[in-house]
Formats: sequence, C-alpha cells, structure tokens
Amino acid sequence: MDCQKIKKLIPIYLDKELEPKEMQAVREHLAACLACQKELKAFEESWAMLGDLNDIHPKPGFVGRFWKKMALEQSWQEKIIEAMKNSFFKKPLIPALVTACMIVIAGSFVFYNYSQMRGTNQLLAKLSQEDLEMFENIKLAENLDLIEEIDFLEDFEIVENLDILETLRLHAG
Amino acid sequence: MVFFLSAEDKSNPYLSDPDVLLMLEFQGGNKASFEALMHKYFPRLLNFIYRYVSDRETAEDLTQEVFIRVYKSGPHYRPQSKFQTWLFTIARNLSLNELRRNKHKAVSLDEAYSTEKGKIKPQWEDPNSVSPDEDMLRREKAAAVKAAIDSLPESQRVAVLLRRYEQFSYEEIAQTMKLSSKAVKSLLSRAKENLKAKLAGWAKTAD
Repeated sequence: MDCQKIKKLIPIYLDKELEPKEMQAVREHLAACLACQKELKAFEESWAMLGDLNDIHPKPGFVGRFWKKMALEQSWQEKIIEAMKNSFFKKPLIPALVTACMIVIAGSFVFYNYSQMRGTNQLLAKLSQEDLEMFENIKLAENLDLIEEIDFLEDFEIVENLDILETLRLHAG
Repeated sequence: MVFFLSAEDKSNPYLSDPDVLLMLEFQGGNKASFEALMHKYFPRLLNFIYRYVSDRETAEDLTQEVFIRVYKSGPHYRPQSKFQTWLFTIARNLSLNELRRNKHKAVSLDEAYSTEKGKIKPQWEDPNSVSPDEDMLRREKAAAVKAAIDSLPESQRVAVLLRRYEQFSYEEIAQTMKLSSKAVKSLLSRAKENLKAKLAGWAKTAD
C-alpha cells in the first residue's frame, strides 16, 4: 500500500477497527515510513486533545427533581382522566337529556307516518266495488282530452290518405 | 424481582446485558431498578447532551426528558438492542430536535454568553487549582476543542462524542445512529481528519 492509502486508514487503525490484513499492512508500512509516522502522531495528538474538554457535574438532586417532574406529569394525566370521567360518568344529565330528546323526535316522526298510513287504509276498506270503479272512471275522465286527441290524429291521417287516393284517381283518368 | 419471558425472549442476545435486565425488572414493577439505571447513566447522558447542544440548562432538561421517555416506555419495553445504545439513541434524537428548534450556536466555554433565558455564566469547571497562565491556556484549548467539535457535521459530531467520551465500539455507534459499521468507519475517519486539521496549531503547543 502507498502512503495515500495508509493515511486514510490511520484514523481507523488507531481504533483497532481495521480488518486483520489491513491492520498488518498499516503496521508494516508505519514501521518503515517516517511521513506516515508523523501523520499517525498528528491524529493521536488531536484525538487526545479532546480529553481537555472536562466533564460537567450534574446539579445536586437530579433524581429528586426527576421524580418531582414525573409526579407533576402523572398528576396532570390523572387530572385529565378524572375530568373525562366526570364529564361522562359523574354528570350523566346532559348526555341523558340529549338522548331523550332524540328519542322523542324520532318517535313522533314514526308515529305521524304510521297514523297517516292507517287512515288511508281505513278509508279504502270502507269503499264499495262501485266506488272503486268510479275511481277508475275518474282516471279515464282525467285523460279524456288525450284520448280525443288520438282519435283526431287518426282521422287526420285518413283525410291525408284520401287526398292521395284522389290524386292517383285523376292521374289514372 | 420476577419478570416473565416468552420463548422468543429467551433466545434474545440482549438479555446478557445487565442493564436490559434492570429495565425488565422495572417493567415488572421494581422502581429501584429504574433508579439504578438512572444513577448509572445520568451523569454520562448529561455530558453527552451538553457537548451536543452546548447549553447546560438545556442539557439538564433533555437528560430528564430522556429518563421520562424511558420511564413511560417501561410497560411496552422489548429489548432490541443493548440498553445504552437505546438510551443514547433517545438522547441523540431529543438533542437533534432541540437543536433544530432553537438552532443553538457553538458557545465558547470560557466566556459568558446569552440565550433567550438571559446571560449564562461560563460553564468551565476546573477541578484542579493551577496558575493563571496555565488556567488560561487550558481554557483556550478547551474552547478550541469545543469549537472544533461544534464545527463538525452533526453525524460526525455524534460519532466522535460516542467514541471519544462514551467509549462506544463501532458496532454500538452503528446501532445508536442506525448506520452500517462501514458508514461509521467512514464518518469517524472524516471526523478525525477534520479535527486534526482544526486542532493542528494547538497540538504543537500541547504539553
């Protein structure tokens, strides 16, 4: 391997995370190459410098503060659940009233339709056969104009045909 | 504390992770197991998030938020990774959301700076008493390191923080960041190259 390739492998070589063959190659190269040794040293120094960033220490009472925060969160959750329970279970008046109103409205609609249908049926039951026939005749009477119009149209066609017959007769003569 | 495992769970490789077992104990109702996890991880998480978002107050809040998420996920928890990779995945996601929301800028550790909450005091904590010159040099170096880390693209920065400060293996980083090991190698290689370039001047003055 040339120096360029070795320099790319050095950062991982320092963590001993290269494949065994690569580790061996880098080790052998470094033993004989001063430039790459210098490169290795520069990587080591900059990495070591990161240790100059000291740890910060947690403020005392971290765990206590955590449990306090948890208790606060849980009390909020419990309050929400309690409020939901109150609105649905401990104060049933509003939903019960709404349900009752809906039942009354739906019931009166059904009753109105039922009474209308029942009245019609009762009326029909009282009618005799003659009355029923009269009903049919009434329907015919309503459509009398239409029927007459049809007759008129048929007559009109016959008149038209007579004209044609007359024309034919003259030609023949 | 007793907890029940299905046949599928018994073949789960992550059950060898003691933290996963603690989490399962917590699932079984043992709050002491949850506290044990919190005591073990919160200083590390706090530092990880702090180095990520550069704001101590935000880091404290986000660390608490991570544990709230863990606590709430207790009843549905199924071990699908090592506990710490799962934990740091949550931390990274929350921090990333925070950065996107507030667009925090890289902040020098040795100067007071302003946030929407007002003026914040320097966050540098020097455990050892040193001479003013040495103290100054250390502060400047730390500021340079912070600036170098902050200048990295987000994914390179997370990979560096997990590797350098949390000693995660490449495989663990891959799991935390939902990447392949090959991608992690590439990320860290580029990140180290960038850091070397940014800190070149300082490395010569080191020690």
